[in-house]
Formats: sequence, structure tokens, C-alpha cells
Amino acid sequence: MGRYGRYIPWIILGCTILLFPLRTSNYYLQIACLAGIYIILIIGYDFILGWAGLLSLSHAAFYGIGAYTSALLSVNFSIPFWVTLPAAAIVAGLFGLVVGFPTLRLRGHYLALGTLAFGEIVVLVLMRWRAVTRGVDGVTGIVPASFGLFVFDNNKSYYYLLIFFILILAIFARRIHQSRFGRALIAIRTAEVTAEVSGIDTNRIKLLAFILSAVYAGIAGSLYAYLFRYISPETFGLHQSITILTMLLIGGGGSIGGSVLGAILLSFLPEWLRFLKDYYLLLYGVGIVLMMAFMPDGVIGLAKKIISKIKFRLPLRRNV
Amino acid sequence: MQQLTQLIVNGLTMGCIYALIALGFVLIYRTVGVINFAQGELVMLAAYFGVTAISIGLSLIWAYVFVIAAMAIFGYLFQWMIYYPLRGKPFITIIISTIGVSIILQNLARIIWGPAPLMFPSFFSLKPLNIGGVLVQPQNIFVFVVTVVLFSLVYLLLSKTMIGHKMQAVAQDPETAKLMGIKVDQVVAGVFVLNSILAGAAGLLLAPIFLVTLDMGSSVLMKSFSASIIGGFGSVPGAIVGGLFLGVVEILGARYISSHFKDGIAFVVLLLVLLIIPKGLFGERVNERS
Amino acid sequence: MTFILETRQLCKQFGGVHALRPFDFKISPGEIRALIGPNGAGKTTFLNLLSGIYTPTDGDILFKGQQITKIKPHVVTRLGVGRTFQTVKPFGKLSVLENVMLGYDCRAEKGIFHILIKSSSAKQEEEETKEKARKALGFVGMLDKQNMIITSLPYGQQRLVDLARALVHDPDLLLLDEPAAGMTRQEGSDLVACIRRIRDLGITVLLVEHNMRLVMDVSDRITVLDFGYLIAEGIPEEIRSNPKVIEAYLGKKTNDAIN
Repeated sequence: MGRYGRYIPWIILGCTILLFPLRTSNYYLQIACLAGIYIILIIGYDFILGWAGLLSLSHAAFYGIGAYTSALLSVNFSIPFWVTLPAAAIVAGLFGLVVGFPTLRLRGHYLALGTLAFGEIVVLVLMRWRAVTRGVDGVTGIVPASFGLFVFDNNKSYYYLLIFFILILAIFARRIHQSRFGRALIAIRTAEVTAEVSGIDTNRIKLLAFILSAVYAGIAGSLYAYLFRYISPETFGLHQSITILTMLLIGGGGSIGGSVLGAILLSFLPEWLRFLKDYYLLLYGVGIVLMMAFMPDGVIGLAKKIISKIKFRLPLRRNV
Repeated sequence: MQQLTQLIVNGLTMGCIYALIALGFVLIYRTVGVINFAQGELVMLAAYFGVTAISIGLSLIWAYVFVIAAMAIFGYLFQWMIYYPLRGKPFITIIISTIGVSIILQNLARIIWGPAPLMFPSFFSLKPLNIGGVLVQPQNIFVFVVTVVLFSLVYLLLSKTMIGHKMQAVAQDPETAKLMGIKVDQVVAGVFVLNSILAGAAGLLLAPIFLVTLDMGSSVLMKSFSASIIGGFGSVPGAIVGGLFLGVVEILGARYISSHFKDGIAFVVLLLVLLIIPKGLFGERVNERS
Repeated sequence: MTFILETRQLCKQFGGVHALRPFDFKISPGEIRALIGPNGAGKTTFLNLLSGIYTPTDGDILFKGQQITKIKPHVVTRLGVGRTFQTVKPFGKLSVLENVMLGYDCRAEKGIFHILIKSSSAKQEEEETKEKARKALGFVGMLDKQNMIITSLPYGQQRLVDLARALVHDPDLLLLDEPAAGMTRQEGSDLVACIRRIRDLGITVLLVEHNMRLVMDVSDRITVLDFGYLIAEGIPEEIRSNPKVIEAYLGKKTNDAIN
């Protein structure tokens, strides 16, 4: 292996991802697209759970707000994708501000319960405010996304569009993680008072993380709306927030790798375990409990632990 | 006026149920600092246990006894299998674990009892009593009486008995309590059992009013969360005041504002409380910590 | 004479417990002041009031003539107060350098959009923060450990990193809460030298400390608290021979401890 040897696994991985649509069924491709949307959701959720160490249970609500913003703008006003997507991000972010502001000042469990309440309100409004949201029937007729003359109207092209968004959002997330905001979030999670006395406006940073996570969810929601071109309220309920939470836990919080891994694993797992039928959800619950007891840092955390055991006695380093 | 009284009576009935569930997790929160998301499924489980007890031929009264006993055992198992291995872990870890338990219980119930709603009988006929022009279901009175009795018992337990004092001591400072020779683990187990019994009582009271369904617990749980925050998180009087307040506000809101959004009222009130008086009506006993 | 920090009738109660009785305290610029007293005398409470972690029950705090009584901790820090803690809680997932950089982040101005697009000014700001942090680490003699994960360092060294974190944003007043706790004798005397050098930078130092040798050695003046009351204040020699101090502070212990 030459000096470029360490890139080989990444090149193989990249090629696999890029060539995947050519070798698979349309059905699996759709699951892959959904997994891609989950990746964005989880990277966003990681800001709040993995980085700030706060439990929010309304991530699916921001996802829904993003999806409905895009869908309704598209259906009612024929506004194109490249406008409704940022609109979804902004609207979700504003809701993040409104929910985060009162709850983040309080201790942890208030955020959990406040966001839970917010999530319930959002689903209820989506279901009952028929005049605007079209109720339980959902929204259909979303105009497919397009770029110039190219229309993203099939799973294959949409898959590549998603890769583009995932890359950009992952890079943005990484830049934030490695900036003073990332440092501040780690500080808040480990020792909030010390962080505050070091000059960090902890409330502001937490709010920022919360808004960021809402913005990511809004973008994911918009992409979801354009993937299926049909949305309905039940996709955005508490169970979805819990799915998001579980994905991050399985992958491992605090890292983009963990988010990606968790999203992919839990998107395909139900397919592989289809034979379990009713027992799948039971197993899912058991899985959550066991994860919490035995590997709270997820697959990535476990891998890191194993690697550091192998590298035992090497000095612990972290490059800035 | 009469209609208003009628509504308030109905609201108070639901409020009692909210209060009972809220009381259970306020007790758990005070003792171990954790919110139990599986609380709603305990309510559901009790109702299903009741259905099973009736179906094997127990009389209603024995069914009650059976359910309460089963819930007590279940509460013990719950803390032994779920809470005990995780004690001392960050509260998020434990909360998520209880979310996992609630998924397990719901799906276990689906597998055992099936997805169709089931019936659970009441002690009383459905014929309402006319009390000064207000029509009251006998079951509603029963709910009210049971709630008052249970709250009084819990109050007496906490304030007058040795076990209660130990619970208070553990709630305030587990480390010191341990040094004073209190068996913290046993007290914690006791609180979980008590909580499970309270949830069980709520389930038995709720079952005849509505049907026994898989999601009967989770919907009242959300309301009870709101109730406890409105009352002041961690406060026992807060649980009952918050519960009753919410029950009444909810039913009045449904009547005079919008029945469509009835289920959202609790959450709007919750968010308003967080915004305006975050510590709730009775305030959380927060120690200033460095 | 103006004081860099002044408290007027500052007091704090927890429930019914008086953690700090009304307390008038003044410290001049460039001074090294020690605050001593037995456990529970209210020393850490006083520091927590100064740095804004607690809100006082009553009284005023003036820093450089400005009211900071009800100001949040991070604002107090930005105004120029540094603070270390009795028990260090290092940010375990961060390197030593990042732990110190964190203390300078409050001086950063470039917002999130600069970071997203990696603007040159944001990069420059990050470099400046790194440079500042390295300087502060150099000052406490920990520069060679900059890339270590902080929790892998011995406790005494973690304390030095914490000191660098408190110093990095150029405070005018530094509050040290038992800086020598858990340090070896050698580390302790290095610390004394370090505190003197901090003063030579023009920073006023207020330290709470149990190690009497260190206190007598380093401080210009000493303030003694007992059960929330001020019982004495003066130069080390006066404190050493003050009968009230010996009685209240040392209790039944012998005089030797102080000498």
C-alpha cells in the first residue's frame, strides 16, 4: 500500500454507493432513498441528542413541517423544488426557535415533555386542519423536483440527488462539529456550569443546536415529499420520532458515521426481518432496552472501543 | 349552568384518571429522577389483565384483586429488569429504555390479546343518577371516590409511615439515605410497585368508560405528563391539581372552542405553562446545584 | 483608590440556611488575595456569587465599578472574570488544546454561516484562538501536552489546563477555587510561581485555598471567613498572629499548621 493506500476502502465504498442503483430492484432503491432521507434526519437529530446531550421527542414533527411546507407550496402555488426546499428548512427552523426557546432554559426532562407535546400538536393539526393540510387524506400531486430540463421523477435519479444533499449537509455538519460550536456543545454536555463560566452562552448554543436539528429535519421532510410525491400526517408522529431516536442510538451518537450507519441499518432491517411479522416490533422494543443496557454508544461506539483496545497503550490523541 | 356543571363533573372524572397516573410518575421522578414512559402501558396492561380475569370466570371484585396483585408483581419485575441494571446511568439512557419497554408491552399485548378493542364491565349500571339536576354516571362517582381514597392513602403513606419517610429521604438524597442505613434499592423497588398499582387502578377505572385498546394507555399518559407539569413537576399536590385542572379545561375547551382539537388542548396548555410559569402551579423542589 | 472588585452587604441563603452573611469585600488591582476559612465558611458560595452561578439573596457586586449582581455567568466571564473550579470537570472528549480554546471562544465573533462556508475570516479566527490557547498552555507549562486527551492526564496537570482555560481570554480578575488541591508538593510550588507570574501580567487574583503554606507564601492579603461571617482581614503576618483566626479557623488544632 502506497501513500494513497488508506483511501482504497473509501474508494470502494464510494463506488458501491454510486453503482448501487444499477444492480438493484426498484423496491430496494426506494428503501435506499428513504434511508438517505433518514441519514439527513439523523445527522440533524445528532446535534441535539448526540452533541448537546438533550432528549427531544419532536424531531418527526419538524420533519413533517418541512414535508408539508414543501408539498403545500408545490401543490397550491406550483412553486419549484429549489424554492420550496429552503422554505421548508426556514419554516422548520422557525418552529424550532419557538419550541426550543421556552423549553431549553429548563432542565432536561422539560425538553423531553415539551417536545412530546409539540409533536402531538403538530400531528393533530395536520390531521384536523383539513382546509389547509387536507387532513388524513394527505397531500398528493406534488410536482417532481427538476434541475433545468432534467426531472427527478424516478428513484434512480432521485437517489443521486439525495447523495448530493447528504454530502453537502454532512460536510456542513462536520464543519460545525469541528468549530467552536462543536466544542461548546461537547462542553455543555459534559459540564454545563464549567462551560458557562468559560464564557459560553449555553442557552444560546443549545437553542442553536435545536434550530439546526429542526432545519435538517425540515430539509429531510422536503426531500421526503418529493420522493413519494404523497404525504400524510401519520408519517410524522411520535413513533417516527422514536424511530429516529433508535436509529441514532444504534449507530451511535456524536458522529456522522454513526448517524449514517444507524439510518441504513434500521431502514433495511425491517425488510430483512419481514418474516417476523408482529414479532418485529416486539423485537425492536427489546432491542432498544438491550442497547441502553449493553451498548449505549451504539455500533460506532462499540467499534471505537474495540479499536482502542487493539491500540492499547498508544497515547490517546485527537487532532484538531 | 346545569350543562356547565355536567361538563365539569365529566371533566373531573377524566382529571382523576390523569391525576392517578401523574401521581405514579411523580413518585418515581422524585425517588429516582427519571420519567417513566412505560407508565401508559402499565395502565393498558392492567385493563387487559382485567379482561383476562373476567374471561377466566372471576367475579368483578376478584378481578380487581387479581389485577392489583398482578400489577404489584409486574412493578417489581419492571424495576428489577429495567431500572435496576441502569441505575446511576444518565437519565436519558433510562428514559429511552422505558420507551423501549412501552413498545415491548404494546406489541406483547397485541400478540396476546389481538388488536380489536375489548370490553370490561363496570360495577354499576349505565343508568345515570340525577343529583340536583346533574346527570352523573355511577362509574364517575366511583372514579372520584377511588381517586380520593388512593391519594389519601399515598399521602398517609408518605407523611405518616416509616416507609414513607424512607422514600422521602431517598428522594432528597440517596447517598445520605444510604449512609443512614436505609436500603435504597428496596425503597426504590417499593416506589415502582406503588406506581404500578396506581397505574393499575387507573387502568381498571378507565376500562369501563372507554374500551380496552392497545393505545388507551399512551393517550392518557401524554395528558398525565401535561397534568404533572401544569401542577408542578415532582409535586404530589401538583399531580392532583394539575390532573383535575386539565380534565376540566379539556372538556370545556372541547365544548366551547373546538371538539376537533380536544386532544391538543392538554399540549397547548402544557406549552403555555412552560412559557409563562415553567415551574408549574406548585413548583418543583429544585436545589441550586453547582 | 479604586477597587477592581467590591461587594456590598452581599449575602446568600439556601432555604433558611445562611451560606454567606452580609459581606463587604474589596480587592485592589494587581493584588493576590486569599480567602480562607474552615469548610462551610462560605468561600465557594462567595466565588459562585461572584461568577454569577448563584444569584445573591441581597447585596451588590461591583466589578471595575460596574454592577454585575444579577448577570449570567457567561457575561461575567466576558466582562473579564476568569474562574477555575475546586473539582475539575474537564471536557473529556476534547484535547487539552481544545479545552483551553473553549475559554477563548467567547471572544469569537464569526457566526455560523462563516463556519458553514469555511470563510477565511472564520479560519483566521480559529487560528487566532488556537494561538491564544497555545500561549496560555505555554504559560502554565503544558504546551507539550496540547494534543493529549485531557482525561488521560494526571489530576494535577488537568488543573493546570483548567487554569489555562480560565486565563486564555485575558481576564482582569482570576478566581481560583482551591487550585492546589490534589497537587503534589512540587506542583504546588510551581503553582505559586505561576500565580505570581499571573499577577505580573496585571491580573488580580482571588484564591480560596486550604493549603496554608501556599496561602502564606503567595498572598498579599488574606481574608478569613467563618460560618458566613468575616472574622479577619490583613497581611499574612497579621493573620498568622490573629487570635480570633487561630481560634475560629484552626479550632483545636495546633499553631503548627499555620507556620
